[in-house]
Amino acid sequence: MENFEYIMRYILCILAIAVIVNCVWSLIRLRPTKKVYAVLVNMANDEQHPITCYETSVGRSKSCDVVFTNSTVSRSHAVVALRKDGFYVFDTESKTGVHINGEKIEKSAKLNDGDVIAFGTAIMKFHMGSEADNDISHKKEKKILRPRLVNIVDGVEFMLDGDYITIGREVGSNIEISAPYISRKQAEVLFYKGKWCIKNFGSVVHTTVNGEPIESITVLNDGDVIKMGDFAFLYEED
Amino acid sequence: MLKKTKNVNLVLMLFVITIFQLICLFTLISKSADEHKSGIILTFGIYILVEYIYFIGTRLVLKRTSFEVELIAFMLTSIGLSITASVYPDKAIKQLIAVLIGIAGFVILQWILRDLKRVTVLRIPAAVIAVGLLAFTLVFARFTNGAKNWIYIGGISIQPSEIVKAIFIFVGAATLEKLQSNKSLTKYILFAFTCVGCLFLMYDFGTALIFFFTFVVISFMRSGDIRTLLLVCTVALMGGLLILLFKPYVANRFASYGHVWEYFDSSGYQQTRTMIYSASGGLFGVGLGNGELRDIFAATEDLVFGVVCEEFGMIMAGAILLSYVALLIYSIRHSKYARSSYYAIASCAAASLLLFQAALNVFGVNDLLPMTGVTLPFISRGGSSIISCWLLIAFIKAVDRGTYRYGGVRQ
Repeated sequence: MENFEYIMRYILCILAIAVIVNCVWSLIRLRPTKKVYAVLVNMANDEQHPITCYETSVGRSKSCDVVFTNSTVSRSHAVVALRKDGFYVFDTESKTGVHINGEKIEKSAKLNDGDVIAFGTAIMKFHMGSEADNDISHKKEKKILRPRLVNIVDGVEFMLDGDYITIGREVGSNIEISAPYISRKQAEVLFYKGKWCIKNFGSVVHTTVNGEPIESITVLNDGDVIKMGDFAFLYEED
Repeated sequence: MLKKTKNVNLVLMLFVITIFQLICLFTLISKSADEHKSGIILTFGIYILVEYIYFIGTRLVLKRTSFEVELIAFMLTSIGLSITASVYPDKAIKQLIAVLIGIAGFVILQWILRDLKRVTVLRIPAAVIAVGLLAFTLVFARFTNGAKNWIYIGGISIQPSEIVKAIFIFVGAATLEKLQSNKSLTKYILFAFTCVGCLFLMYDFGTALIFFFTFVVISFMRSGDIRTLLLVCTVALMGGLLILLFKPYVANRFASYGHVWEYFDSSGYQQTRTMIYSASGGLFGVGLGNGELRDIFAATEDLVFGVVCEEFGMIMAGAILLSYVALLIYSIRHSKYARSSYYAIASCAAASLLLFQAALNVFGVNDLLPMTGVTLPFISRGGSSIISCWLLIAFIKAVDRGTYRYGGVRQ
């Protein structure tokens, strides 16, 4: 019995060490593989943001996973999260809100493949799973949503990037019109509640959309004609 | 693409653990009195059976492939059960029942954690329960060993603060959208300080310190706000010093700290004996049941690390400590890939808590820190303690992406 006890002291130690060290070694070395669960594609510049985490923060803060420099995007704007039953986007108390396919979400909403998500004026398209890469490369040749104003006279295009576009006689306006009857600040095209809209400031000549004078903020639709005196612009979305 | 390493061979590890348990069982049977033999056999028999049911169930039904966390927990629990059955063979069954409740709690908590909506709904009620339990303890508990933290119900003694540890982490962790929506820590600070305050009033300073440490970890992971944390820590330190100033009997509890050898036969008795017998065990120990430290008061609770050193050896003791460190490293490395910030925070908090508690216990008996009377996780005898440890392991397990299978993700 004494010999048995003597030997068992060593065997017990060896057995316990074998289990603990093996498990500890595996715990320390084991790492999950990185997977791409979905992709967010920036509609403005085709930049892809692969979603490799179950929770992805979106915002202007550098600590976010997807960072925007756009001032309409809050510092901590939203979170895209993969939950048990699919992808969700959560509005984390942003100033401009989160819109999915043009509709503002309350606190959270489920995401489906192909949804267009607007974080302020930053528009992203959501692609799910590994099909994202094929879908994106296939659609690269297709035109994506890029709103712009086209001068009907000379065809010059003015892209609607950023928060707003100012139109007026004032030097420094985004679209400068040198005509005496155009006000210094004639109109402003702005991104409001998930859509591009126009606001009139003109006092001499009233800005019209499709012949109708603008009373307050008017939503722009594809093909609308904006007129200010002799100057006319076509609002286009592809 | 990160390199993936293979998981441990479950069958082989299970086989080795079973051999370990059977050798311990045989040793205990040979040393115990006849009236205790059946109890010990029953204890180990049921424990080994439950072990196999768990692993077979999770492997075949849930189709999990990673078992390192559970294997470590089962191994440590085996060591603890062996020591308990060796020193108090009549209490082995009671400890087993607590272990089984702990394992059941581990499974149930894993199920709860699976659904984050469920977790969100249960957080507030859990916080209320935690505060309620501590308040109940404060009013109805009996003073035991200088602290008012034990409730006696029909012959069973419960330490509610142990269960509150798991609730504390359950309430403290948060998903990323919650963290981004509400950056304020005020509510959590109030909850944490209520818990810590109750523990202070119970004179359970060791557990209060553990709670405070866990609060610091959770707060840091939630906000990253070092300034707020420094402010909180400074306030806590000042509060602690004021207590020591105005309540001198609290300071007397730490009178022998730093020079236990001067109090060899009085307040330093336990620590000095622990150090002596720990060293006498050498690298491989004197053998299960052959130690001297087992006869000293609280041998299987506060001094259990010394018992492990003496009877199982320093190598085994070192491996046990390595387990706690490994669980923390694992939690930190996996938190980047966790299914939610909730799991990342909870896992790191739970692993930190286990390691800190182990450090308090080990350093306390070696006079590196004042003795606080906290248990060594999984090893110390104590129903509430082992239940708490198994609940904490559920948080560590939840950080592994493979623990839960989501329908929306293609595997």
